[in-house]
Amino acid sequence: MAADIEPSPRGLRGVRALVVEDTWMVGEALRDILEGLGLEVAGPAASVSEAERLIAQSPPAVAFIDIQLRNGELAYGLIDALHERGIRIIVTSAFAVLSERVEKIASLLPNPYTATKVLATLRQPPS
Amino acid sequence: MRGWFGVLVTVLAHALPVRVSHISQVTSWSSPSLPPLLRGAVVAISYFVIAKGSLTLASLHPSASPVWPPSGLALASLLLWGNGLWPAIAAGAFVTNVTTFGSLTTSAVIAGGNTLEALLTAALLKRLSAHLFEGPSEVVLFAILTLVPGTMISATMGVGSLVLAGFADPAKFSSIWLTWWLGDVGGQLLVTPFLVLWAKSSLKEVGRAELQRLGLLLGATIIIGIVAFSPLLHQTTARSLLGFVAIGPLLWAALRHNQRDTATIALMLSAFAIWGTLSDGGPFARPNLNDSFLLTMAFVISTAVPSLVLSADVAARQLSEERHRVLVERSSEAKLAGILAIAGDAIVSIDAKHRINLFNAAAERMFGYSPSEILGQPIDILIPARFHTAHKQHIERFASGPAIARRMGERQEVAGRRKNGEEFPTEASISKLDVGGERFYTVVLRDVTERKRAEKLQGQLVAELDHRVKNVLARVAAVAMYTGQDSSTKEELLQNLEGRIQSLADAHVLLSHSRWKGVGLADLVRHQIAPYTNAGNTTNDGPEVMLTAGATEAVAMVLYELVTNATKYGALSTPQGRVSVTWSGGPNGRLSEGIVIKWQEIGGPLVTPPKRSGYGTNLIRRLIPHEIGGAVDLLFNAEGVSCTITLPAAHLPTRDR
Repeated sequence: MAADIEPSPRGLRGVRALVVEDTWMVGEALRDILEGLGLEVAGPAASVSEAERLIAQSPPAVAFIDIQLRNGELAYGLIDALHERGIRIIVTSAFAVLSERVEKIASLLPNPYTATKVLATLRQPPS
Repeated sequence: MRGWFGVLVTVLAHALPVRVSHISQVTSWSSPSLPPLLRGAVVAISYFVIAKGSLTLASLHPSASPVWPPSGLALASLLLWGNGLWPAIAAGAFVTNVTTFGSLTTSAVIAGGNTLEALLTAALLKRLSAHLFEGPSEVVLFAILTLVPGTMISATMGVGSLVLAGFADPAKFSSIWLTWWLGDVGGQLLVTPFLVLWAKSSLKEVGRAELQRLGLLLGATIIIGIVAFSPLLHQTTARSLLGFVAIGPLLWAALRHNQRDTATIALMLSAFAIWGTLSDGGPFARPNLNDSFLLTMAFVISTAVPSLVLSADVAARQLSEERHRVLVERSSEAKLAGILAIAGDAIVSIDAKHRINLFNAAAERMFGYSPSEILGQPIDILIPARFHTAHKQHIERFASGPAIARRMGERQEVAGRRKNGEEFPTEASISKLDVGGERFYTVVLRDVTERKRAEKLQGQLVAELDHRVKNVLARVAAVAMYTGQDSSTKEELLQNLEGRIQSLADAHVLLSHSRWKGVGLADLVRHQIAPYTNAGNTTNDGPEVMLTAGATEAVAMVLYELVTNATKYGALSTPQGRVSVTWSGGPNGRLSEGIVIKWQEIGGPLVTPPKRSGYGTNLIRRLIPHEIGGAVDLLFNAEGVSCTITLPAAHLPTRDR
């Protein structure tokens, strides 16, 4: 499906992206979609520590982050840390309601998602 | 007249201590205490003084006065203090007569008649009247007993002895007898109720307002007495008609006051009438003074008796109304007590000073205090200290506001504090009530601890459900996407898609049955491989162990990929191939350290490792480490595929969790 999106949208090629998602197949799907759009993807990471290790290897420009991670770990601290470093954040939570703070600093990509929805979210002006 | 009335008042003031009992409650014959001898002396001297005064009104015969209050004093004394007092009466009567007229013998007989009159009337009253003066029939009975037989015996003995001894003209027997008798009747009828009722009432209990009312009544009576009867005004025919005005204060006293005051007014009016007649004036003046007095007494008796009866009737009705009111009050109190006892909510009342004066059974259970501990305590004892000021302000705002009742803390719950210090959330309503100028507040409290817990749990469950539903949809969307990539035909795609979704659905059925608490591994293995195997070609074995919801989903998906791979390419693709699934606590056989699940294929076609790693293979290798943090070792050995799955102990809930 990701392969159907062509040509790769201009301006996205080579952009570094990080996927933080504890549901393996959902993370894999997002990684494939992003790669299909020409981004360089790290992850999916299922925990904050895994995410931090990947960020240390190569800092991303945009991070797709689920709120609830492996074994119930929450990603709010990670979101704040990345926001402070100027990394764009797109929250991919299954939670219906997010905190006001998160809604202020992040775009929202409710799953399940398709390549079209991911692209539309990426093209939204960062909040 | 001034003589005996003044003496009467003196006797009243000194000889009759006030009684602490309400007049309508007079049911016993108990009497004020005074040393018996002193009491006897007081009665005897009073009798003598009043009798001597009364005899100054005698004209027909020196010993027979048409106005004879001593007979009333005698009867009242016996009623109040008992029959034992008769010697005092006898002494008073004897001395009076000896110093007046006749011989020792006649004086003794007359005194005997007077004493017998009082004793007989008192005895009959005690016998026939259970509650003296209480009710109109008692008053009528009293009036009849003043007519017969005591007064008649006294008159007969007195006049008879005088005639027999030659001290009276036998021709005048009937007229002297009539004067005597009527004098005694009037004395008993007017003086006895006056003395007895005053003796039984308490001036201390009379309020200022009542004293003012009484003063007004007495003032009006004095004015009417002067205008209608007194010798101070010149008597005319027109003035004689004013005698009827006397009925005014009597009715006033009967309807608006009590029997005591009615008896007082009757006595006062008769005093005025006698005063007028004595001065040969007033409406009852006749050529013959004795006839004038007889007419006066007839008038006085005929107005006083109906007034006393009416007054008694009014008092009886008031008493009955009061009893009814008390009964209604008691029954409404009983109803309220019943409601308070069975109410599920705590009901607490406080007074204007915020002190607890009502605490029902539910409140006892809720707060843990017994009524004896809590009644009279400030309401603050039931509230956590940090809310005291706010709570006080709240009640004061409510006190000055227009609302009669309202819910407390509509936006926030009101906290309660149990005896053991525990705080708990409540839902409270408050109402205010002014009773007799005093303010009461009633608070109804419901302990909402359980409800809050349930609401919180429900909120958590809904959020959890929401999360799970979205998660499943996300998984299905991802599965759909990848199944497209590793299927070569449309039929294969649909079959793979259906299989993967069915695998997830099966895992959810087991989770749902366990209410998402966890699924037994044996159940999960059976359900996942059953559609692709038969009893002969698979075995599974291992200790009883539970998996969390997350581990259940992850293991289900991995088992599905393993079993479909085996069916397509591995041991289950030939009749000879076998699969065994075994598990044990790991790594050292202890379930507290996690669990190791071993998938082993054998007897199938020779295995060649795949050239490139497909979606299914990736899922088997990565899903469990990613999602629940375990380890998976998938090997494509030539004799058969083997897969070793290690799950962390954190995903093995104990049974009771």
